[in-house]
Amino acid sequence: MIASSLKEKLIFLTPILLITVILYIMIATSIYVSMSDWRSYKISLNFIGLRNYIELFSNPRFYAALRNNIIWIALFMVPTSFLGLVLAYIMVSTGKELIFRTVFLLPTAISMTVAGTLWVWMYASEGAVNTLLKAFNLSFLTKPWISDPSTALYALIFVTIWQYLGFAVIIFEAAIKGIDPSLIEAAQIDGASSLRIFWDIVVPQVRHGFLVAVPLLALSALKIFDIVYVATRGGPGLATDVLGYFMWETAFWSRFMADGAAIATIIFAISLGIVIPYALIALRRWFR
Amino acid sequence: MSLRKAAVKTSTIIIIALVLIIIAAIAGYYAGAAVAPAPPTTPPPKPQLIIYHWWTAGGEKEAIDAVFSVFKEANPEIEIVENPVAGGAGAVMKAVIWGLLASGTPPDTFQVHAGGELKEYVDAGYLDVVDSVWDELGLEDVIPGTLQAMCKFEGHYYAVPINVHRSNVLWYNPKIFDELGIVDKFGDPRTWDLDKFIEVARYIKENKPDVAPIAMASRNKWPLTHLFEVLLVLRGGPEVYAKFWTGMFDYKDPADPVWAAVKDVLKALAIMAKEGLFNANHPELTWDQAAALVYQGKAAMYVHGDWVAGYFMSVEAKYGEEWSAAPFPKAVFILLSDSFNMPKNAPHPDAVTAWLKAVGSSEGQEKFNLIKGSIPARVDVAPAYPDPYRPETADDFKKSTLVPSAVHGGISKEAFVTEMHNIVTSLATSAATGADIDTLVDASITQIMQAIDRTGLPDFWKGYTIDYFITKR
Repeated sequence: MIASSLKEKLIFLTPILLITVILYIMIATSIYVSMSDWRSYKISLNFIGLRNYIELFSNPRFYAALRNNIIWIALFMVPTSFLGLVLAYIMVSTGKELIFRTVFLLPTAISMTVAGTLWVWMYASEGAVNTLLKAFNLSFLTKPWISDPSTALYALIFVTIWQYLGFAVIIFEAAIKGIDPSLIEAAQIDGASSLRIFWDIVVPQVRHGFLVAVPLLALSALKIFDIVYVATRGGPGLATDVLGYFMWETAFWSRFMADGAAIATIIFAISLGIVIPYALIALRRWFR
Repeated sequence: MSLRKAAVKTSTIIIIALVLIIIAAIAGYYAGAAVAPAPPTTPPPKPQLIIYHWWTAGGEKEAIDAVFSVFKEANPEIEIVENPVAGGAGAVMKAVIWGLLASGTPPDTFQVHAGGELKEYVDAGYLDVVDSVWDELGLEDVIPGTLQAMCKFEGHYYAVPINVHRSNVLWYNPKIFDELGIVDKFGDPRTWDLDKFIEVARYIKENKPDVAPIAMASRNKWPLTHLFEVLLVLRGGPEVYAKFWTGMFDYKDPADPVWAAVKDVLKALAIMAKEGLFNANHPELTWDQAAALVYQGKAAMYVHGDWVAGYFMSVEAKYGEEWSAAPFPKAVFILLSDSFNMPKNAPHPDAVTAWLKAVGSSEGQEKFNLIKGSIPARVDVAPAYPDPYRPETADDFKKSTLVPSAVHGGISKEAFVTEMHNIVTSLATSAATGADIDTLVDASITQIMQAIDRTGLPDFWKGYTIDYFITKR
């Protein structure tokens, strides 16, 4: 049965091949454009080597954006995946999955542009967040969240955590449900507390959940664009500037397509740094 | 087993069928291209005008509809195919148009800011000359030199302007001004210079600490660059302004007089940010929200373009009580203009010519601008303005010195203006956190020098002089 006919193999491989070929043609084109002199509305593909990259690396804005991306990945990925796991565990162990899932998935279902607009209102100096803080006698915590360059980035990162939490919950819900129930039952009979079960059984058993969630979340943070565009355009100053927004502004607003492609290529290279280790681990599990 | 085999068979048949269809389609396409086109069996389609613009907001849409009706009257047989792409100043539409032009499937006409923004399309070879429309309508006699220059590159016209907005206007709250006796104390805002402007702002801050002296909105960054643009004219005059935005000065030499003016303006912005002369929440506001602060009495002054008048009227704020306006400075008119053009290989060139004639006609200009809140590009058209602001602007358009706006696509290159947004907002942000102003300003100057180099600004205007852009009066 496994030895299926050549015809069957072709049928199933053709779409994959087509998608892969188109994808790689596009990536290759982008990389080529990044080494060209295309800097206006007019398409120009004269090869100029790595000059665009050298210029990019001498631009302080590149490092500002890169730094923000790295902070974004770190501060977004860790809490989102960990909170996702905790919530998924509470959800499964209390049996209230439907309600929880609906509540946590709602933000994920909202588009980032809508969420960004909503949160800018809520973060406003006289917006919902500060009003709530005052109502709970926490006036000392009120801040001009988006206007203050020292908090703006973290305010936006929080929105992405809020948005992607439901996604993490779903992944970990599936992972937790994959745990052999007899393990947990045995622990319960031995008198282990819920916390103990969580740390010693659930966390080690949902490793594959992390394997799925962590790279996907890291990639989402790496290519973040929409919320920055809607909420701050990278401001105040360059406080919330990220590579994705820098790329868009360079390619489409300044019409420096080659320089934009260079930024895109760098984003792509960083994403390979996330995806390759993940792929290696996944493949090793696959062929074990 | 047999079921599975049957399933495989069915899918094989489907795939073979699909492949055949695709091959047939490709073969048909090339056969059609190789052989002479088949004679049309159906009557020729109704002539169309495929038009792209970004006027989708209230007021704007009605304005362009009014020009459509003028066009329809003269050309009832042409069907207008409208493609409005929402997004302020065409942020989204530009990418769409770029794709259409680059792929060789241009629309018939599209909206573009006259000046540098238009020149980028001309340089790329996407646009056709429209000299004949200018000749036929005699537009050179009724459109001032600066606006002609913004549509004319290497001796040919590439667009017909539909309107004019003024970028340098000081909007203020008359109640606050009266209460503090600003005009008595400091004179008419029309004659203030940069120092006086800061002096007034400080005076307001001192005497009315709960009011923001200057309204600002930097969430989209450009309103701060807009203030920079106006203050540069105020401090340096039209020549320095034009030299700076076109890169036509010795920008590698820090001793060039242009830098002295730029330095003063950057310093002024840093002072405003540091001393809290802006509303503190400016990074979370858009331009209309900053305008709202003025009529609500939360801010005293706002330097912004004259679309603010349209906004005040749309929220029914009372002129003379809640808002008032002064050209700032009166002697100079920084203008921006929307225009329409004819792309090369436009599918319906006759319809485009008819459209450009409607755009340039007295009737089209009058109807459009009455609703849009701008003034006509033609000085011979004088609509009966319902508001108190525009008659003065229209009069200044004939009498003041004219220069194109940089922030709104007129005199600079957009790549450079984009860099300026980031440099200027970074300066204000750092100044607000208490950094040393002189150090910040010097750092900004260095960044601007690098940006001029990086964006190739001087090459963009090679072959032009600053006199080309300025109508001296």
